[in-house]
Amino acid sequence: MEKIVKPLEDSLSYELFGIKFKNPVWTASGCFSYGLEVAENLYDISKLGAVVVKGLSYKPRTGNPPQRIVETPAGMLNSIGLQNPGIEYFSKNILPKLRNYDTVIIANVFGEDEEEYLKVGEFLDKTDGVHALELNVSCPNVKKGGIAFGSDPETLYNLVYKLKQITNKPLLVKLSPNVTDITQTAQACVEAKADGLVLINTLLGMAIDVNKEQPILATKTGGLSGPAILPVAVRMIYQVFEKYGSSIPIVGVGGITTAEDALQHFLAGAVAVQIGTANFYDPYSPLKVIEGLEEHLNKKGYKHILEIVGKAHKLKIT
Amino acid sequence: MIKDYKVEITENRFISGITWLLKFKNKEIAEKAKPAHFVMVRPTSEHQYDPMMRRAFAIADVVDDEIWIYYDVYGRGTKTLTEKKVGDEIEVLAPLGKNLFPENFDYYLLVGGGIGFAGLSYLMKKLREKNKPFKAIYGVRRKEQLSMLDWIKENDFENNVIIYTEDGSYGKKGLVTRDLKELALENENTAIFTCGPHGMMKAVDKIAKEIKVPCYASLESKMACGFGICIGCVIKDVEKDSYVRVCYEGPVFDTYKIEL
Repeated sequence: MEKIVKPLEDSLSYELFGIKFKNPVWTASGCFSYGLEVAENLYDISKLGAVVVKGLSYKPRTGNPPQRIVETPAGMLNSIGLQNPGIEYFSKNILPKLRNYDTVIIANVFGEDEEEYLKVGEFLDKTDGVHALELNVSCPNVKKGGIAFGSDPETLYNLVYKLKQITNKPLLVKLSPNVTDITQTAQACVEAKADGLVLINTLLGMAIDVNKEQPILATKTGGLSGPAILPVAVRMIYQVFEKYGSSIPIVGVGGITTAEDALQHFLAGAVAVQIGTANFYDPYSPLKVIEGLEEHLNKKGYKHILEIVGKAHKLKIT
Repeated sequence: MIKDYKVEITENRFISGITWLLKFKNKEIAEKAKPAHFVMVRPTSEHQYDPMMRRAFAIADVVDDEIWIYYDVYGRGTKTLTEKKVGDEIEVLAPLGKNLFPENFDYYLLVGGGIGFAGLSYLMKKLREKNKPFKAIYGVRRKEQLSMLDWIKENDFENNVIIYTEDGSYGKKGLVTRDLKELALENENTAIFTCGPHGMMKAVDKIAKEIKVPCYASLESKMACGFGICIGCVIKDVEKDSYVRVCYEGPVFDTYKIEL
């Protein structure tokens, strides 16, 4: 593990991709806007390990028509459709404010086709203040691009390979759980020399209004997130860590509200975690997770969070 | 600043129809609260995820340090909330909403439908405090849906409120739009402020535009967060030709600039 991540003095801090993270708790793309709403109204986002901003495309996108969200058992479906102001607006108007906070800024990037992905990558490669890129090839809510790139290993390999040629910034790939075998898309990313994997994006779902007798979301389907998907994320992290854990860092996302949830991700093999939907119903959740992780390490006598990464794999059930 | 408060319930009881009244005490929220502000209430306890999302409610009144919320029981979230007892602790994110009612008019005509009247009631108090003239229209289908009738009487607003019921079981018979045109044209520099069912607000907006009277709607929408990060609660801004957030760019919108 120390080959890809170097522990620093504080029990939660380390150097990953040559970037210093004060802790391994990040906020997930699409669940934190661009960070400023929370920074200006709720708490100091400098406390976070990193902020992964809402998906950015080259051109602005208006997003999907409402209704965009619906609650489901212990979760929610969303179909926002990657509404965003475009990278130029982001870099001129949002990023300068975001840079005032002492946290790592990761840009989630998206394109409708390969050309747009590459244009976004090229632009953000030259954008000061963006520390790393998270490639969104798994959004289930847009007609073009998105999931189409994330479900076919060959297409994914080509995209990651090309992006790696044009950017020197660390490139993480956020994988879709809507595949038969996630280790295949993970393998494509490893072979294309991605710097990290982010597991998992939302699961494709649908909710139906029984009175109106039609799907609730305007786009009919949406991405399922929230506590309901925690075991799916943990299972997929575990599977990918088992195969590629020694060669590529995994960032866990999916269903985390508490430190205990986050610990499952770490034990399965995640080196960092992202908090998504919990930001909505428990806005201080990322801070509670940071605190809870520290408490857990103390209680268990660990000196550093990296000591538990992938530890669940040592337990063999026969 | 927005804060997530743990507050103790001081009252939570059935009023009439499907409406309940929830009260809790919190000095900070009481001091910060302005008309059109709303709160996000977590219906469950921490670490209970079903129902998971918070529910958005308008601040209907502030009495000393006590916040009053009128809520209709529709689904699992509000049903769960009815099970809370006096003394129970709930999590309340407040105060929410960035764009509130404008105050640059000479006369205010408030149009509330059903539970939407609770989105205008605190404004009535504030308008009276500031000696600003106003009239409020309160419309429901049937008499038992007039859940804020007691509040109107207790606060001596009977002369300011005109009540309409669709079936004629109380007040005037008809829709809130019945006499809207005449009422809106009675005074110079009048603005219409509306809150209620979507169809009603659309009808109010249509009349306002016909007679060229400014109209502002306090909106609600399905929202996950209430403070701008989920981008779920959007409405079309026709000027910008883009979707804007009800919770963050609203909840009050100039109806001439949005697609209701």
